[in-house]
Amino acid sequence: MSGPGNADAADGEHSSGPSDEALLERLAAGADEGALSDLYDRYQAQMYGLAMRITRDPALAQDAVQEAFVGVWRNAARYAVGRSSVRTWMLSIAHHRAIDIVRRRRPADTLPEFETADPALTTPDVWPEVAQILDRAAVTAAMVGLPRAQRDAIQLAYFEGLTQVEIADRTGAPLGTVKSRVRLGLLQMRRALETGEAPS
Amino acid sequence: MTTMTCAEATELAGLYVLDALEPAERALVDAHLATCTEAHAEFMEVGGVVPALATLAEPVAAPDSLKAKVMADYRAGAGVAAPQPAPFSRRSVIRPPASVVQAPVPVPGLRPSRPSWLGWAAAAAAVLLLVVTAGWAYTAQSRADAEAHRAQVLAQAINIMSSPRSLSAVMHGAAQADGARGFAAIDRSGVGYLVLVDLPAAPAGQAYQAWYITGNQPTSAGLLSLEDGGFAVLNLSMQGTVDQVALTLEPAGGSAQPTSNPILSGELTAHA
Ligand SMILES: [Zn+2]
Repeated sequence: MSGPGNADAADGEHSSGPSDEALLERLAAGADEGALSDLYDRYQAQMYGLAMRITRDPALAQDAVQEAFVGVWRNAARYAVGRSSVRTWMLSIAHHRAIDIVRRRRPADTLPEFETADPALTTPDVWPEVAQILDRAAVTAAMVGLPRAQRDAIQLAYFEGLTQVEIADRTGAPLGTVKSRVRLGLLQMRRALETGEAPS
Repeated sequence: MTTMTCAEATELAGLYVLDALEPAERALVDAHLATCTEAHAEFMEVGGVVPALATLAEPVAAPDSLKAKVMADYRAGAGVAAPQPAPFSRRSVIRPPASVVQAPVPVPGLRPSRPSWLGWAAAAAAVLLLVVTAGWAYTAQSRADAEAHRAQVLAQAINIMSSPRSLSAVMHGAAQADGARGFAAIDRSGVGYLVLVDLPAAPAGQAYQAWYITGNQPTSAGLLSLEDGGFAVLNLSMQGTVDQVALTLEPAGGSAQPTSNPILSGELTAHA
């Protein structure tokens, strides 16, 4: 069985060594290169993969991850235990930085300074590879179950960093429609993920 | 600056949690949330979905040079870490829905179970969509039948995995099967499935052959037929003790014994 020793699967899945929370606490407490190094090893692939998906450019994705780690150690003390997993917190920082970079390349405003964690999605520490495939599959199922217009609007916002106005321009939909597509789409995804039922 | 009503703020919840509002509009929402006496639970509801979106991106190993840059940043600036936790931040109103943060429940003597929201059947059905579409951007309506069949097979495989005294193996490809991954699941009677995704087409004149390995002794488990999207399912039926399931490239038609080294294998481990 693949386990924490597997380089691919080990990302974010570790049954030995200090917990993510303990590493973050060490970072918050003061200079601790070992803690940062461990967190990097655990999450670089997920963060870089997300940044690649958003920026579609290795150099930009690397910039995003590099900036994200600055955000991680600068804000380690702000991480609120229990509100979200460290993994979620770090991924949301990486997302934020990648979107920021994508937007900087367009004539648009930069984002407000990142403040705190997005909510949690915990991943069970079991069968790392299968779990990853299936987690992604469940989210994919929820996404695929959405009406096309809702799916597109969410994708344009999350993976391409478009703002409300830009989404309206791109899709030709009125602003009010964009608002409701994103909101209703996220609500429907949430219901699909909660019930675990295949979306209709 | 105008103010915003509860209804207007609610409408913007989705765009807000996706960071997709123009700064001025975001400021209006922030101002509203900071002063409004309503709970605005819809922000928590939609906010809980956002982290799940991150899982749609495949992990990709960053170049080794990146770690050096990250560590150098840290050495250069570690003294300036923000010392004070923010007492109340903008997004602290967005709490994760209980069902999403629910930790896996540890069962004594067993591995933690999957969280309840991740329905096995939905997951299985979705694996296909992943495989067929390599993403969620479209669904292939014309492939509905094939998808339904695959969904059924996957649901069965996943049922086996969670059945008592089943064996399973997680598998990663190498060499010609680089990038392929999947699992084998076998029930207590020795019957089950090998499910692989992202398997490249076999070179001309060759075929993928699966093997049961006991000690050093391979026994053929059959030839794989590859479907769209590098998806392959093989029915397994094994006798006695098997340590591993492995895959080799063989001349088309298969071999009695492997003629090349495994390019994908996994050790069978008892589960649940
Ligand atoms: Zn209100």
